[in-house]
Formats: sequence, C-alpha cells, structure tokens
Amino acid sequence: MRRIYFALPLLSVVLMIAVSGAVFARGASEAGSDERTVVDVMIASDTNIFDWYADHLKPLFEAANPEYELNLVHTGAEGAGGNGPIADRAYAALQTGNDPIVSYFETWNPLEPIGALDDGLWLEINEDNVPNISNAIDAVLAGSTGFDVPYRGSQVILAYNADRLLEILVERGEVAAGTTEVPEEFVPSTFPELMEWVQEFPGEFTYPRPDTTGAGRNFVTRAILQANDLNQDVFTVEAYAQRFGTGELSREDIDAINDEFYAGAWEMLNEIEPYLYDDGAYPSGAAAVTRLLTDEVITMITIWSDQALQAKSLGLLPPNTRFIQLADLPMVGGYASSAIPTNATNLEGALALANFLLSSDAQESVVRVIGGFPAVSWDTLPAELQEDFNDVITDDVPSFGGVWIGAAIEGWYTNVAPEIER
Amino acid sequence: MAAQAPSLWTTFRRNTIRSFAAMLRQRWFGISMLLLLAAFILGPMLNVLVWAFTDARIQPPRLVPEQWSLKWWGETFTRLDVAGGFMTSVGISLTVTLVAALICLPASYAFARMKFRGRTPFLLSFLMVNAFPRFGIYITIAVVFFRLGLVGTVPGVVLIQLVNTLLFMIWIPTAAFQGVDRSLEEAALDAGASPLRVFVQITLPMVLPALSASLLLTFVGTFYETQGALLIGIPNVKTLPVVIITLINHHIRQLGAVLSVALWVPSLVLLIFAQRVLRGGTLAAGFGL
Amino acid sequence: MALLIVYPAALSVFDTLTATSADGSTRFTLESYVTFFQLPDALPNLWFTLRITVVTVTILFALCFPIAYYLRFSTSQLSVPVRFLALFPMFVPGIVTAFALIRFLGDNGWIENILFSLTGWEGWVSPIAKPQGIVIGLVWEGVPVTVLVLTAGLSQVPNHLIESARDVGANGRQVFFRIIFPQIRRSVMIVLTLNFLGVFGAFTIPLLLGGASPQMYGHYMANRLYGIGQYTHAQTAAVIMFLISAAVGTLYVRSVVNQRMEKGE
Repeated sequence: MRRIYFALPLLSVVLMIAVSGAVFARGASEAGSDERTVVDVMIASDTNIFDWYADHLKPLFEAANPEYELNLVHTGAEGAGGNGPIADRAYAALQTGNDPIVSYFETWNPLEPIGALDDGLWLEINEDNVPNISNAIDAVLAGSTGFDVPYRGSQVILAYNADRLLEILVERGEVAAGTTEVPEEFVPSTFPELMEWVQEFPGEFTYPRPDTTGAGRNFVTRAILQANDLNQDVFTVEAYAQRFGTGELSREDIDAINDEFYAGAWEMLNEIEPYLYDDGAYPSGAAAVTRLLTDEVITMITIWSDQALQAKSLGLLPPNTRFIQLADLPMVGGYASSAIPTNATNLEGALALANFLLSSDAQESVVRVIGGFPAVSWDTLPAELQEDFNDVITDDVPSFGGVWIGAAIEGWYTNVAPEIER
Repeated sequence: MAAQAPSLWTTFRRNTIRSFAAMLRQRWFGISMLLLLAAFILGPMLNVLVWAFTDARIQPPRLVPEQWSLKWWGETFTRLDVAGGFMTSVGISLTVTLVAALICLPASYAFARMKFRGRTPFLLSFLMVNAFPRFGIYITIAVVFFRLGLVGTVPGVVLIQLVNTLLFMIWIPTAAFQGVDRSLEEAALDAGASPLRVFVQITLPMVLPALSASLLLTFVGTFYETQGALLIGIPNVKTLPVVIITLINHHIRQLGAVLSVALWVPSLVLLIFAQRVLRGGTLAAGFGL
Repeated sequence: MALLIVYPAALSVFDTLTATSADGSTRFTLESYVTFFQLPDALPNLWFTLRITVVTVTILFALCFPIAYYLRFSTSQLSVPVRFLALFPMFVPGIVTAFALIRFLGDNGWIENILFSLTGWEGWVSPIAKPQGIVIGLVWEGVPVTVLVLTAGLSQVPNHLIESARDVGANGRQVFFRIIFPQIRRSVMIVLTLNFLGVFGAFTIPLLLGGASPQMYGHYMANRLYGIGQYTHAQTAAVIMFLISAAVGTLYVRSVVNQRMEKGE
C-alpha cells in the first residue's frame, strides 16, 4: 500500500517528461515543413463567419493562390476581447521591432489600440496594394478609415415563430381558430411598426446586448439611424475623425455624441424596454438570444441572416419560423472591415487575401453563403447572382462608420441598460 | 477501500449505543448530500449530455428529443484539429504542473518553516501575479515576451501559464506545511530518526492531501486556461481551449455539447486517478499516528 | 519570473497615477481615478461586485464545509460518489457551464418543465440575466476548489487527537470547536481568500449569466476596453480591482504570520 505514494508521482513525472518532449518535438517539426507560406488570419466574429472562412473562403483562396496557406484562428466570442489582445501584441511587436507572428485581422477598427495608428501599425489601403479596392462602392468607402479593408455588409434580420404568434392571436380573438397564416398586419415591416409590435405583444421580443454580437449591435445602430431620420451621412468616418480625431474619446466627447446623435434612439429603446422579454433581461451573445426562440420562450428575435438560414435548414428552429427584413432600411450596421499590420509576418499574403476578399468570387460568397451585402457594385457580380437575389438587391445599404460604435455601446449601457428594480 | 481507513467510525463503534445513532445520522446525511449535489451538479450536465445526442431540436416542454442522433459527433471532430489541440494541451499542462511543483513545493516549505525578511511581501507578490487583471497590461506583457523571443512558442505558453499557477501552488502547500504538528516531528527526531526520514515518513504524509489537491488544481486550471495561451501561443501553438473556442460558442448548440461530453472522458480518468491519490493521502494521515 | 507580470502591472499602476503635461513632462496626479469614479456606473458596479462576491463566497463555504467534513470523516461508500460529484465542475469550461445552466434554470428550461409536469406549478422565475444567475454559476464553478482545500485541511487533523479528546469525555461540539476547528483555521482562511479572488475577478459567468447592468468588474473592464475602447478607464479599473484583491490577500498573509507569533515560534 505504501509503495503507491512513491510510484504514482514517479510515474506521472516520467509521463510528463515523455509527453512534453513529444510536444516540443512536434512544434519544431511543424515549422518549415510546408513550401507554401502561411498567412495567419485572426477571426473574432461570431461562429458563422469562422465557419464561412473554414468551409468556403479558405479553399477558394488557396486554389486561386497556391503559394499561400491560410491559418485560421478564432480568437473568441464578441464581448470577450476577441482580436484585442492580438492587436495589442502586434503593437508591442512594432515597438520592439519583432515579428508579430500575425498577418491579417478579419475585423478590426484601426483606431485601436490607442496610438497605434499614429505610430504606423496599420497599413494604409490604396489601389496600389489592394487593386480591388477600386471596386468598392461609395457607401462602403464612407465607412472606412482608409487603413482598413471593408468587404462585407452582414445583415441582421428578424426571426419569428409564426405558430406561436398565431396561438397568441387566436387566444386574443384577433384571428379565427384554425387560421394557418399570420395576417400581414401582425407582422412588422418597418422600424416604427416593429416598435409598435413590441408593445402590442409584451414579453415576446428581445435583442441582445450590442457589444456581445452583431445581432444586438445592428439593431441598436438601426435605432440610431431611425432617430436621425435615416440620414447616413452623419455617421461617416470622415465626419467622426474631423471632430474627434483618432485618440481615446474623452468623457465630454462621449456625452456630446450621445446628446447630439443618440439621445433619440435611447428614448425609443427605453420606451420598449418594459415590453421586452423579462423586462429587459438583455441576453448576452447570439447563442443566448437564439435559445429564447428555439426553446419557445419568446416569439421574435434579431439574428444573423446566415445563422438563421443554417439553423432553419438543420431543423434547429421551431418548425414554422419565418424571417423578415425591415423594408424601410435593413438592419445593417455598416461594413465589416479587415486590417493589416504594417509589420505583418506575411505582408504579401495578407495583401493577396485582402484583394481576394474584394474579388468577384469572394463577394458572390458574401451574398450566397452568409446572406450579407457585397462591398462592390452589383454590376460587377455575375448576372445570375443578381437574378437569384433580386429581392434583396438594394442601393440603400445603410452605412455606419465603425468608429461610432464605441460611443454607442457606452451610451446604450449608461442610458438603456441600467437595472430596473426587480 | 473504505474498510481500511481507521476512522471515527471504528472509534464510534466501541462506544456502543451512540455509535448507532451516529452511523444513522451519517448515512442519512450522506444520502441527502449526494442527492443535493447530484441535482445541482449533474442536472445541468445531463442537459449537455442529452444535447450531444439530439438530432435537431427538443420541442418544449419535452426534456429529451424525439429523435436521437450521433451525427454531430462526426461533424464536430472533422471540423477542427481537436486531437492535435488535446495533445498540445496535455503536454503543456503536464510540463507546467511539473515545473510548478519543482519550483513551488520547496519554496512553500521554506515559506512555512523559515523566517526571513520580506516573507510577507514575497507571499503577496504571488497574489499580484494572479490577481492583477490581465486586460489592462497585455501590451506590456507582450513587449516582455517579444524581447525574450517567446511569442508563438511552447516555452512562452508554459511560462505565462506557470505564472498563473503560482498562487495555488505556493499558498495551499505553505498553509499545509504550517499546519503540520511540529511536536510529532520533534518526537521522531528525539527518537533518533534522520531529518530526511522524518520528512518522508511524518511531514510528507500529512501534507500529501493538500499537495495533491494543489497539483490537481494546477493541472486542470492550466488545461483550460485560455487568455495566456491565446495571447502568447497564437498562431503557432494552439492549445485545446483555443482550438475549440469557436465550437463551444457555436450557435449550433450540439457542437459545443459534443465537445464537452468528449472532454469529460479524459477528465473522468484523471479524476479516478486523482481520487486514488487523494484517498492515499487520507490514509497517510491515518498512518501518521 | 514574477517580474514578467509584476513589472507590467507596476508599470500600469504608474500609468494611472501620472499624466503627461503639455510641455511633455510627467507629473503625479489622481486625475484618472477622479474621472473614473465620475463615470455613472463605476461605483454602483463596484458595490455590486463586492456584494455578489461576499454572497457567493459565503454560500460556497456554507455548502462545501459540510461536504468536506463528511468526506473526511465518513467511511461510507457514499463518500466516493459525493467526492466525484463535488470535483466534477472542475472539468467543465465556463462557457459550457453557463449554457448548461441557462437551459437548466432558464425559462422553459428543465427545472421549470419538470416542476410544471410534476406539480402543475407555473411560478418558476428564471434567474438568468439577473444577479442570482451570477451567484448560482459562480457557486457551481467554485465547489471543487472549496471542497478540495477544505478536505485537505481536515485530513491534516490527526485522528488520535480526536480520539483522545473523546476518551476524556469531550462531546461532538467540543471536539469540533476545540480540536478540529483550530487545526483547520488556515484552510478555512485560504479557501475564503482564494474564493474571494476568484469570484471578484470572474469574467465568463458574469458575462453570460448576469444582466446587462450592473456588471461585475471583470466584465465591466473588458466592456470598457474592447466594447468602448477606453484604455485609461480599463487600466484604472484593473488597478482598483487589484488593490481590493491585495487588501484581502494581505489580511490572509498577515493572519497566517500572526498565528505563528501567537504560538511563540
């Protein structure tokens, strides 16, 4: 019995040495075994975007550019920092003159980390280094700082459980029992109608917190646009930079932005708060809000269009789930933008990837696979695609500069989220 | 297993009537504790287990799906290099645990037994290492690691995770060493035992439960550590949590469920292993008589 | 090795205490703390974090001490599954815990549906996205460490001490308070301290199980830094969190030192 005390630690020590030796050896052999050069891509978006890269873009890109291999890294959920630590790391490498061991940030706002843009961390994008940027439409460029590659307008839609809505309507006597279709007047098609709908069906709608997923952020930015008479010219990067520069926003700036541009939206959102699910228990992240729909807790949520379509085709959503986009202006919070550090390990590869993302192939994938809006003009895309997506083709894709988001999140948390006494 | 331990129970038995009442009380207490724990701990886990085998969705208010399926298992494991991440994580966690033990156990013995200036600040510095929120200091940490050429390497990940373990590996063993009854050691020394023999036969058995507890906590804590591994290891060294973060977060909840269930199997093996070590420790304390 | 973190942390503390004047010189100032506490949610969130921490640590101790006590002194076969269950949460990543609890305790979750089908009771209130949700999640996560450390501490109490106390006629309560408790004081202190530190700095559980506001500090800091891009505030919050943790840690280390002095060693 006694011997075991010594046998066990000894055994584990031997095991530790063996396994750690194996790992070190593995790490060493991996480097330099492939002739292709690796492009390290940091992805911090929701899981649908990572899947899209892994299943579609990576094979497409590597076929078109056989000299490169993409190494995709998911750096975590939104709300948890995501690419932040890696951008910090690239900034540190710039300061020490080291190789940052990273080449491409799938989404990044080049105004962060504070000071990095002025110190030359982010590469200025122009037609010389990314030729395809010339294809980008004006609405896209308006939301860009010039140090990023805007390439996809993701779309957030409304998903609702039609059976559940019918049940409520029948119970209320609004429609006759046995009705199979929800009458049109009970389905919102514009933002004001949605606000009314929420109040008409208390506890049946919610949206997630804006910093945890685009499904919340795009809804909030849509409310902001609504409060500004759908005037998108207000929220360009240029307008922002002229007034607030590229540094950290001061308290006064944030207050000014909120008073001037966001106050109307907060009023609207506060007005519907008592009618939201659980009095405004805003879910954290896309998975948490989708659960409320799938487990039949509530009737309507905001959701990424591609996640919605995929979940529906796999039978993960309630059987009679329908999707709607607002007809007055879709819920698009601007274009997602990539950024490339000037000290990128594989700068050539990163630029090739950026150029590829704005190519016709990749832009078609944006439309077909993730149900987003292309960053290039529809005219440059295949005619077949235009026919297939005739319904969603719109020139009126809202533009909302990413730089405005920080103050919006701050404003939402201080003006909308404060706890109601429960 | 249980019969070997000379515990209270055997002592109680000698005391006739009271022993019976005590045993009843213990059994009743044990059963209710087991039920409480099972509901609290196992309930949510059963839920995950069910989801790992759910074909599509569970129509509320049902608790289990109408159709079971294994399809998500294939889906999960073909998606990412889970096996590679697992091996990397096991290797790194074992290395971290081993190095931490080699550094910390002698150190904690010294902290417990020797008086030296600066003991308190020293003990507190381990707290600083652990309790200072990393978010704010990523850039500075990265600068240090870049200067040392450790970014994107296994030794770099080992180092940053090692820093995380110091608190557990110093504080718990220090407390354990301090808790050893010095009079027992002195009695053995008086009886002519060598200091090494006293350490191995008297001190060590008494602190073994605490040592194995801190080793276990270190290993598991390192295995699931994400922040440091992400900051320093990316993109060359991908530990398991870094590989699977996209699946755990996935909007298709089955993928995360499959992965967690799959992770429980090695965890259970480790737990059984740990159970033995812990039980051994308890026995050892008994032998310390 | 501690320098890898201690140096960056010290630098960050220094940063929050200084400002660069217009002429480029560095001066000492508490400005960043003043502006930080002027944020409308800085203080409420701090109180909230402390409240949640104290409640969670208390519940953890009250729940786990009996378990550890039982594990130490029981010879019943039941102690094997009890120990097993108590250690299990250690192997479950925080995100999985959070979603499992959401589907277990949330609206239309297992508890609600089981209660409804058994009793027809419809009054279940979901704790998710409320302070209660954070506490439940953190307790769930904290059970293994608490049980492990307390069991280890209890197993250091020599049986012969208890037996001899019984031989001279001590009753159960006397044995506990005179013999066992003094021996495990250190373990109790260490578990309270470690739990405080762990809960106080928690991130994943408060993010996923808590409400949008108020936020716990770990979550609040990340939100400031990555959601809003306010580095200075995040850094200040980090220093404040550290100071509170350090105060609790000092209490622990001090008490251990003092204990030794009492004994006159």
